[in-house]
Amino acid sequence: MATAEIDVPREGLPTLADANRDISRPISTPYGRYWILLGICGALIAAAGVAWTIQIRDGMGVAGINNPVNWGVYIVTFVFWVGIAHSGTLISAVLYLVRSGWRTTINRTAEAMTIFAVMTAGLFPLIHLGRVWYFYYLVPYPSTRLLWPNFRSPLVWDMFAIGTYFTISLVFWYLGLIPDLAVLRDRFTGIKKRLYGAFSLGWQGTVRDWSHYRRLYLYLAGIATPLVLSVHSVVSWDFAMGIVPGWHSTIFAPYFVAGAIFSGIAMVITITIPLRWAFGLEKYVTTYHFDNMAKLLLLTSLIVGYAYGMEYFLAWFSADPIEQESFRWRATGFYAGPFWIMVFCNVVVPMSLWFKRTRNSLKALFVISVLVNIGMWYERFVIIVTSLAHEYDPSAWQVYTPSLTELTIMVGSFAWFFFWFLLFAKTLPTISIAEVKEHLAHEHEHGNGH
Amino acid sequence: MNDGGVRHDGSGAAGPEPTGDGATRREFLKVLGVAGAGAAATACGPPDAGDKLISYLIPPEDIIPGTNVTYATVLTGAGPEPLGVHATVRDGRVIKLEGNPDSPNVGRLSALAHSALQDLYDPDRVPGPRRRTEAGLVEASWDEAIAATAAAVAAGRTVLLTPPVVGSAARFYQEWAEAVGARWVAWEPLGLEAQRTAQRIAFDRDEIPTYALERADRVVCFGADFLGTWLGPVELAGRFVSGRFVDHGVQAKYTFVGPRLSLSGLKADEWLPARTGSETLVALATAREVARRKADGRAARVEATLAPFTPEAVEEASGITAERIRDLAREIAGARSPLALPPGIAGQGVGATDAHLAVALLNYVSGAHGDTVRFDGATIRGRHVPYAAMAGLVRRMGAGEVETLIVAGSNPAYSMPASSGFAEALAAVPNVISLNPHLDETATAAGWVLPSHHELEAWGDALVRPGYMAIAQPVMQPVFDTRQREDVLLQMAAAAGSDAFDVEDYRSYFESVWRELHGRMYGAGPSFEEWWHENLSRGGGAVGPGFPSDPAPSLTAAAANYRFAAPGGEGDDLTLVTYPTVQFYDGRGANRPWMQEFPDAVTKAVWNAWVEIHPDTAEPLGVETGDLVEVRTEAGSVTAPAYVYRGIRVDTVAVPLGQGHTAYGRTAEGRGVNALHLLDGSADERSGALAFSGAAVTLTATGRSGKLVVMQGHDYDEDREISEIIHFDDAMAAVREHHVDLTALVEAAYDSDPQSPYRWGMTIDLNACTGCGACVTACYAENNLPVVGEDLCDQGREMSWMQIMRYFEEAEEGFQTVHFPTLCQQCGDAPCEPVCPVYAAYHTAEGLNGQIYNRCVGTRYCANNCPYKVRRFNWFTYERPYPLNLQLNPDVTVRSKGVMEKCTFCVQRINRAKLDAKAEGRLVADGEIQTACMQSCPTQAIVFGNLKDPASRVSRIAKGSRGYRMLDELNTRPAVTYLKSVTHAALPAGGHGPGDAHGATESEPAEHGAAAEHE
Amino acid sequence: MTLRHKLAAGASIGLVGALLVVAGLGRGTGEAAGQESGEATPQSPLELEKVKPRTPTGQTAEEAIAAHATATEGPAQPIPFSHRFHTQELLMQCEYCHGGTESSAIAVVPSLELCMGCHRIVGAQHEAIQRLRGYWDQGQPVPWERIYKTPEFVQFPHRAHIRSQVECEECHGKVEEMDRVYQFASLKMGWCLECHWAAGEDTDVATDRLLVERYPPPETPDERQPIGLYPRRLDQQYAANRGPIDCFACHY
Repeated sequence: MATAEIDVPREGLPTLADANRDISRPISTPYGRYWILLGICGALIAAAGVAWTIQIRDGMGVAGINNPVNWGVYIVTFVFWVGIAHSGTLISAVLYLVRSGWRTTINRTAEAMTIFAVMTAGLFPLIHLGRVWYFYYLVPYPSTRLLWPNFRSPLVWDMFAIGTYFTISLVFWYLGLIPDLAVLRDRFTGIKKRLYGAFSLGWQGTVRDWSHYRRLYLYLAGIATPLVLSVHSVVSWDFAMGIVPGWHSTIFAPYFVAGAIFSGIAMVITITIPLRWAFGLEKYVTTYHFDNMAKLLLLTSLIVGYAYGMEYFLAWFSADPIEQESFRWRATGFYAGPFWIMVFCNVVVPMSLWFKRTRNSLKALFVISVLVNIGMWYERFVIIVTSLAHEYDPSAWQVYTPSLTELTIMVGSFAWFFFWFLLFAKTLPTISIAEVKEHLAHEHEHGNGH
Repeated sequence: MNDGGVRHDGSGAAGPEPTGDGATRREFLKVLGVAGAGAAATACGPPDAGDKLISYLIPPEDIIPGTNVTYATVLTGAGPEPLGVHATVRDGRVIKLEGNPDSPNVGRLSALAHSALQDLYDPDRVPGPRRRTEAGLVEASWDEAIAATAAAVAAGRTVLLTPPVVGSAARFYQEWAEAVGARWVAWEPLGLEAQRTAQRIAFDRDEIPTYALERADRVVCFGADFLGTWLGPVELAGRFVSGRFVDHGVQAKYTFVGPRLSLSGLKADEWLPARTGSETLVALATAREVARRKADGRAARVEATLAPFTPEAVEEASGITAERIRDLAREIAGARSPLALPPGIAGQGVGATDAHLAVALLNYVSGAHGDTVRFDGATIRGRHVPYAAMAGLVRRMGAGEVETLIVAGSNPAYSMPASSGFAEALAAVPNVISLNPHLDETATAAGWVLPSHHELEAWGDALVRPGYMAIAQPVMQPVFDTRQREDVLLQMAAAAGSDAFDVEDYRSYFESVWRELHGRMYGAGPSFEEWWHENLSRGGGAVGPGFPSDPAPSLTAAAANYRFAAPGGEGDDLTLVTYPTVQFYDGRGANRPWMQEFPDAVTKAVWNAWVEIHPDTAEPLGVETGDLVEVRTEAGSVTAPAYVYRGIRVDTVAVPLGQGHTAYGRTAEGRGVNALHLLDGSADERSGALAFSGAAVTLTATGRSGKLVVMQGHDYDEDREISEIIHFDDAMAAVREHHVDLTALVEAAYDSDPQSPYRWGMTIDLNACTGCGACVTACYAENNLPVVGEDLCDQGREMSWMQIMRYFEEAEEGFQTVHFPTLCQQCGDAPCEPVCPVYAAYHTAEGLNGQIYNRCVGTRYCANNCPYKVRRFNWFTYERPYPLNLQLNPDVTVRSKGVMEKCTFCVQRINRAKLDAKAEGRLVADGEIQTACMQSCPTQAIVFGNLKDPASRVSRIAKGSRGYRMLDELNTRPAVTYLKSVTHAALPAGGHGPGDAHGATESEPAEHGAAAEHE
Repeated sequence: MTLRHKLAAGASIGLVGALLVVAGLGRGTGEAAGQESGEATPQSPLELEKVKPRTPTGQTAEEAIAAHATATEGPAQPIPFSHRFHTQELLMQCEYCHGGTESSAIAVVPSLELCMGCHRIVGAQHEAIQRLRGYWDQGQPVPWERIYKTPEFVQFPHRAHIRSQVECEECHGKVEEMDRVYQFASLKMGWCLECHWAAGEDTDVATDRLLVERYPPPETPDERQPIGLYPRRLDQQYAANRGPIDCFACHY
């Protein structure tokens, strides 16, 4: 290994051997807490499963949705998770391309998060179907009915966009894992060794391996980058393509993408802080990383805030009284609460990140990121529900309140997400060992500071 | 749908295994299954019939399986008027009722009449004879039932209580009563006794005049709900609208006088909110002014009588300013043929006869008498004893003077006010025999329950026009083990040892009557059989010359010098108004799910009863719509949700009749409150008519909030090009300068396959629509719409494909109302179509927005994207308890959970017509297809047809000057063209627009511009 | 319609009467049926020979019954009815039993009365026919096994297809050669569509003529009718014999 001769301990910096040991420690040592968490998640998932079963048996009526408001918590949560899924690719692909080194310690987590978020989001289009047992009608395949799905429908676009995103992210993530899997292969024995070995695809860490690896990683990063924009643009078109006042807007694609990155970064922070603490990775994930993420959070918060303002400007500028009434009611009507929660969490709170003290206080960051996540869920709620509840025909105006079934399934989706994440954290390195080593090596050479 | 749902053909298999004698019924139905029966796979099908093919043993003549047969008959129990119907029968089950064009209702029906089907198939009907024991009702055989009841009848002192009847039945009951020495009492809770009495006093004629609304050019209504529940709404609505033919330059200005705007009141151009009971004074004052202007012979006769009633004198008592009364009088005096309508049930107070008399005098002096109010005998309603006489009966029952009471088709235990003490008196009668089909309040108190046939299962007839008798014939096998009411009576009489009748059943009695009529009509000429079959096929026939009568009898001296009570002072307490509704009428509609889910024409409330109060009354009480309020009179009190309604006087409280049943069936029981509990049973002393209004009430807020489901989210259209109303002059101007190009096509016509000769379209004339809701119920019947119940309605999950929105439009003074039927607009560029991922919603070659249930996966995107919000989602699979499912229309799929549905323009009818046309190698002719709603509309507000034929009726109308499309700015190019409503009331500049809370639209000049171009 | 109306009364009574018999309500009708069966005394084989027509391929009733029993395709029927025997040997026409398809959406299953019309006399010696008679005597319909079944959400009008000269066997196969009937066509939507698409290919001049009839040439300028509105070649599916390809034609 080229790094061998510089493997000399320097004060503060962990050695490369440390990196191997520290990062893969969680994988070997079991925790009681871990099993408890896993159990809780499992229970919540089971509850959601029961709720869904009841819904399939009795009909969509067990959800709170009604005639004008035909989409509720399910679609809200769907969009929420698709949003979460974003930061992953952004951090790993885009930041990789722009060579921003600080990504290295968080990209693995971010990518895993992406995959699990997409896996969660993907459930909701199914859950909200009136007749889920006919979901295959949406799949284009030569059927005895000689019928195809309607490719004009944004819902079909959705299916493809999310499918693609999931595939690419998965491959990208797996590729990044290969060297680390090899490390693990070498650390363990017996069945584990054989498993990690199989998945590491016989990685030897030779120069040839690395050069292939690098090239492929670069290409995949290149392919993945446009997806960051495309996926959530398509999701936003589910609404922008509709003529519902409050949906039918040209700013939706960028607005949703920004929102997605915003919520994604927030989720990374929300997860990394406890992870770092639980697995004792303080040396690797430092305030330097959080500071950068906080800045990104601040930036996207500003974009989102701008979008909120722009929505109102467009409503006013359109001179369309129906559009105007819709937005007036959004802020003052039955759903004023969710609207102002949204504004507070997504626009007001992040402003505190202008101050370095906030950015460097993990407690503050954690609280803020959680608030942002809440705010972003409400943003989708406000966009979807309030627009539908207050549409063109005044006599059809009707409000919606979520039912217990819906909420159970929503909570279940979070459990489902964290369930996978816990499994991941226990079986795979949550930080890219290879990249950390690279980074460290780089630092050992040129001393501290950036 | 292939997953669950009720099988919609091969009724043989439909329905669970019925019990008892039902078994044979199953057999009967089973053989009707024919080829379809097999597929009764799921839900209700009996397990054995799964994949079997069941054939007839012996094919009944003239039934071709899978095709409809139409029988003509007449409904006498579906509201105030007899309605001729064509019953559509498929494989032995009647599945739809449509008006009989040969009858006075000229092919139209009311909502209540449509729901007669649910009465026929009501699972709560008594399945067979029952005897009351300590253990409750037990099954009995007809033989023992007849024997037992006959013995009771033979014992004497029997009273037979029926609804009023016209025709053979009247004669039969009379003869029967004589034969067994019983007394026959015909009674009607919402009777016309006051009006009859008034006519007797005024013109010495014991008949109801005919109101020729179509000829009138100035209409004043003193409270009668003539478009909804009074006298003959279906017929009168038709007449009324013929008098509002704007495109021909006529629209009678219409003033409504009364404390509350009823369904009929909402249609008025002008509202004189007279205090309850003061209609009489307003009428007299108006008559006086008219007489003064006319100053003719008629005026001279009544001058003295009317003298004291100057507009100023009545001003205080009525709350109507003298000027307005003078203006009204001036317009009436100046009119070519004015018409004043009397108070109806809602306006029926203790002075009912005087009120009717006053209106009669007004018509007399205004010249309407003999012109628009004609005593030509054309309005025939059965005679019946007044309420006072019923009170007498109650006394005698209480006194034990009645040994046996036979109740046949009447439910006094419910429809008599509690204060009358009928229920108690009933307990004092040793033998109570109910021949009612239901276990209603009266039947539950009966010792014997002998369920009778439904009208559609029975023989009968009714005199509907002078010399024209309509025939009622059984259109299907009895659903339950019931018998024809008259047959039961016959068998009783025979068993009681009477030999008065030499016929073995009523049918032959009936036929003998007709033989007699035939003999009287044609000594020679057509044979009886020919004539009889001809009449049966037409649903009736001429049975004699029209009544020889003078349409304008002279005023009696008694009336000319009648002493009307002098105008009193101002009462300051709240007064009560109780009124019948379109859907429940006198309560008979309450057990029909369609009627419970029928949004009330005025309040749009469902599944409940309510208390209407004025905003200014509600405000100090801190009451809002839905809050429980207690209404108390001396007689009693009810607690019901309030409905805050600006169409009612501040000092008036209105409660609808017909709810609050304690028996009668699963749908009706314990729902809402019975307003009759508020009546102290005081009656008009001249006619003995029950006073439905005028009682003093105290109104208290309970502080609790109840549940009142109102199917209208917001009362104003916010100037959104939805409901449009314009002033008569503007309308006329538009008509004058508007040229209808017979060759041009309306825009929407281009939205079908260029190779298709069809683009189906519809026009709805808002000026003609009265909001009666007949179309809504017709749609339920035709398209197998499920009833979802109160809770789901509350969640906005109702399934009605056609809804009538009730929009208020501000006028210079007060407000105007536009009834706005919304259904799928079948857009040319439909927002619902592109968003469906599976082509369940798609555009057909003929321009319809197809909705393919079995393809739908239920994303509900289409519903979100529909700006008209006319799509309905099946949140659950809705079951129909046997035998309600027998009504299902086999031509329409029964939808199940998870599927989107909506109005299809009755595509099953379109397809049938196209098949017929194909078979004859031609195109579908104009008017060949009638959608269910169009077919039923009493005012012909709805017209359906082919927009690609520029000369078709629908095209011509759509190109008219009043035509506009709902939310046109969205450019969805709807196939439905609405015609603006037209009013004589002065409208604010811009045409409309409330200064309502949601004022954002108000500040918007652009919107007014958009609105302006429609005017 | 008028005829139907004329018959309305008769029908409602006739219907009642007929259904009484059918449902075996009441004792009287039951007896009646019994008597009828009594009249038709079992025939001697000799007489049967006379009654039995000459048969082209000489399949005997016994063989037909056996063939039905041994056939592999399709479900066995409660009565081993052989379409082949009745059509090929007895030379009966399809319409004799399956009438009404021209006027109705659904094909008519022959009434038991129709079967008994012959079988009171014929074939009484067969156990199968005695079972048939058994049904008749109890006033029970024969629970035939259903072969062709479209789901409830498919509206299939036989009449339209008969009138469009679609041969029965195109969907039902050569029933006259089946001892036991089996499902010939898949009845899958694609199978329907292939036909409906193919049926639209050739043009039909009749439709132009029809249009002219529907919209006659102008009399007054105001009454001009839109002949020019349509392309010369109007899609036949609206006026002539062509299967519609709209979903709405079958699903509503």
